[in-house]
Amino acid sequence: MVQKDLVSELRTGLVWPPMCLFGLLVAAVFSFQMELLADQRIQIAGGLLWLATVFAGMLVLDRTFAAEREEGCWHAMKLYPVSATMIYFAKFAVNVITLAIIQLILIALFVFVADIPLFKHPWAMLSVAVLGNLGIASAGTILSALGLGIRGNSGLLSLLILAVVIPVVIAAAEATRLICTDDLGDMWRRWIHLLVVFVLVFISAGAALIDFIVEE
Amino acid sequence: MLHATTACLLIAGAAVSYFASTEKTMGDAQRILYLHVPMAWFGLIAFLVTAITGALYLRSREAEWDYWSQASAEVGWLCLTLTIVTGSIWAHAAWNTWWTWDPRLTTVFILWVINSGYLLLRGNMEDTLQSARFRAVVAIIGALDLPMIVMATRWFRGMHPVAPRMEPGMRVMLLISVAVFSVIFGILLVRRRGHLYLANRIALIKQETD
Amino acid sequence: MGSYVVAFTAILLGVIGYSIFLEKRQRRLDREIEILQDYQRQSDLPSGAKAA
Repeated sequence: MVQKDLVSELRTGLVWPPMCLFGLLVAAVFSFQMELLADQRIQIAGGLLWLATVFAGMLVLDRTFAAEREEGCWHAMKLYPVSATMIYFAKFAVNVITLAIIQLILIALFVFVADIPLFKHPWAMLSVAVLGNLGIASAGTILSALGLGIRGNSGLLSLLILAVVIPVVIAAAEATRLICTDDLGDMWRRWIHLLVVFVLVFISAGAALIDFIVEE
Repeated sequence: MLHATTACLLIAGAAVSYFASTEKTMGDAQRILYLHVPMAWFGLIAFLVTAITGALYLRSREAEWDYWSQASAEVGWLCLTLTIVTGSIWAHAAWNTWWTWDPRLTTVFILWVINSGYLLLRGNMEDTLQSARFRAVVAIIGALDLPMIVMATRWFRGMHPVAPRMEPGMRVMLLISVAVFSVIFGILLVRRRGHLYLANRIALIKQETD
Repeated sequence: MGSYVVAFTAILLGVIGYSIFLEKRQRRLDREIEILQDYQRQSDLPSGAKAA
């Protein structure tokens, strides 16, 4: 199933290119701003990085189930002996990959163009990036499943996703900022714990609740 | 009758707050506390009720639970909106600023957004079983998110008064205020839930007679 | 004192506004149910009369 979505994406090139360009643009705008605020750069970079990630992600997330909804593949898919939980994980995986691409672009831009020392502590940065990714993806996937029943293209899903994902943004942004200022102490660990808890809670919730969304 | 009841109760609420002694540092505006704090509590409780009844609905599939869920979401939204409004007014009177991103305010704001999302979702979908399920899912996710929001915003510093030392007199007044508002919101909640039940009955009867 | 009055008014408006909405809705629902029940009773009568 993951394969199907990825292949379909690579062929139509509908979603990823615009998303990448968007990420690029946002990163560019942010790094431009950061040049103007040279001293404060390090302090705000974390927040900007994760804001950019979330916004670019929102473009994609609420379309997670769009293909199924629009082209009526939904009924065909339900004929497969696949449990709803599997569907959740498949979509989750696709979203994780998508977000990872966004993150690569954004982080690269922030490091090379805006000169933010994100890689001072590579493993730390990696953990934050991964956890943030999983956090946004876990909540985003289950909420976008609601798209299967919603009428119209309202921004309702994006709204809900953004609101629910705010703890992740705060935690990841703060953790990133602490990495840049070399402060990997208690506070940093606390943010990581929060991220881990968020991911665990929402992956479980997503896997469990998807049944109720998907049933006839 | 409903009007009379709520009006009386509100006047009682006003009287209570009026007779409470004036606090030293913040003066009269501080009385808003008797309005603001109950609103915040009820907003929070109402949302939890929405989530819990939603979960109960998913488990038992009895429409009853869904009615309570919807009614609670509405009354809760009203409370949260009033919390933000009264809080803003108080903040302006006390600290000369309409808003600040401190932990509690941010939490209430996000809760308000999620609650609004619930109501918007209800407006977007036809009143079907699927709608009830989706709404329950949203409420549950919102409730799960709440502790995270509280933690994240709290570890970020804040300026909101954390349970100020209250003279015993004030505490009593606050409890009275909470009691008064409980009755008001209880009445509203029960009424609203009654509507949903009635509307469903009407729909059923219509189906039969057609 | 002014700010307290404003805050209280806000609450008053909110709660009373919502109660008014509830009251109107209640009346409409009551009316509808009455009409439907009348209708039901009427359509029951003829067959009841026949049975008798």
